[in-house]
Amino acid sequence: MRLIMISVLLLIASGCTPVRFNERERLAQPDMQFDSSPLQSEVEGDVYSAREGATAVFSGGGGGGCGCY
Amino acid sequence: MLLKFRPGFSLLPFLCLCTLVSALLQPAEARAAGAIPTPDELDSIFAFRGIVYKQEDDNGKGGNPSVDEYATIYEGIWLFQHRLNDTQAARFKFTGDLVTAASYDDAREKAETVSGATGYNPGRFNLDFGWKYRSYERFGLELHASYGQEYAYRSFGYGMSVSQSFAEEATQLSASVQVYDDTVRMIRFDGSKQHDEPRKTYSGSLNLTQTLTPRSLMNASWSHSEQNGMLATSFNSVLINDVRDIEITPDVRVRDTLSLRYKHAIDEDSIQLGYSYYEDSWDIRADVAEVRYILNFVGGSLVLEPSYRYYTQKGAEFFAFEFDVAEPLRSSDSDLGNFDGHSTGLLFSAWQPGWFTDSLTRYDLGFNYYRRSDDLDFYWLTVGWYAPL
Repeated sequence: MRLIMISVLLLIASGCTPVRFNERERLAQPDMQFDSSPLQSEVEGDVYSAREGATAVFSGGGGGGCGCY
Repeated sequence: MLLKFRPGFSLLPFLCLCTLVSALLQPAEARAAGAIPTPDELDSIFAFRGIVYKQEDDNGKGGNPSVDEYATIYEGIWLFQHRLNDTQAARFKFTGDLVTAASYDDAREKAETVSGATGYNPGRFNLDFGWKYRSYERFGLELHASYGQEYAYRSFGYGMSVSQSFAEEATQLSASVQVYDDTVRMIRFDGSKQHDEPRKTYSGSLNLTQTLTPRSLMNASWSHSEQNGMLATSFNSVLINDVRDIEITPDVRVRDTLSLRYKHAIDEDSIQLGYSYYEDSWDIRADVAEVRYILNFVGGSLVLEPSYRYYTQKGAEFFAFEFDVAEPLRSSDSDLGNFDGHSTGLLFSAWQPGWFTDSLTRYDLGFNYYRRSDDLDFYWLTVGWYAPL
């Protein structure tokens, strides 16, 4: 599985063409941020990591705080 | 008894409608007077988020069928960040929880009765202090320290992250390390108490965000953590031939997560796709797939974000609902078992003129429902307020 993920990543990266700063107007909009509301992402991550065996997968982490309810 | 409280079910559509009408009734000049602020990581801000979390276990049959697992949690998060100068900012975050949960309350009440181990302590709090630096060359450094406490748990945390942008910010690389030095109060399910035990967590992550086209970008991350010490939940129990005994887990856990996300603009809207793979040394494996669609109305001042997330987990090798013999490693914690999870959510955001600031502030209202294949279901409602200062 790791190999698949790394392969996909390399494939995407190798297909990149440079996008100049002045071409990125749409990407600067708030909805194009991956975590445009960090507190909301944090809440979701806390809930998922408390009720699932995995860590909060889209926000890193992996320790601290119990939440053993 | 489980209260049949359904927060926001009737209120949510009403509040959404009121905010929508309020925004549409504003004169165009008023809406244009303050543009939606472009986020800058060093900006002075105040943010609040309130959460109501409710968990139901199908009248005791969901999750682990031999224990009640209902829970209600009220949480508030207050975040204040102040820009110190062009390159630095400081922030403070407080999180407070009020908890009512079957296993937690049962152990706490027995502990109070049997050993006098704890006083009235209805929840958890966490304090977090941070400092950010970003150079004109787009190098970033962040340090933070935290302290958290609940009746059977104390946690000190320290972290650092560095970041660097390349190619006119088309490529952003970051790395972070985090250490938690925790103490578990060994209050058992029967109210007995043993000496406190340590739990240490060391985690690190690498993160890459890459612009792909003028309308799309991707994010890849890898996180790795190693934990040692008392990793079981002290008040959890297992059934061995119908007799309750303590949960015992390995005292080391190594965890890895690989994640890939992709975002693409579709006219005024955008879509986000994500996949993640997780594995650890307890033999838990998990896959996560997620899709979010962001709909922008009135030039982005009203945003609706429906989402769906699928999670599937292969449980820990020492997990079982009942045991015939006293295995050296054993757990019946349903969060470590085999299950699938379907989570659907809806987040509604609106940018409106603020109370005490010239900038527009964002209000949001969110609802998520999570259905687990073992009938342990839960939902949470969030209310958020974000104000650039």
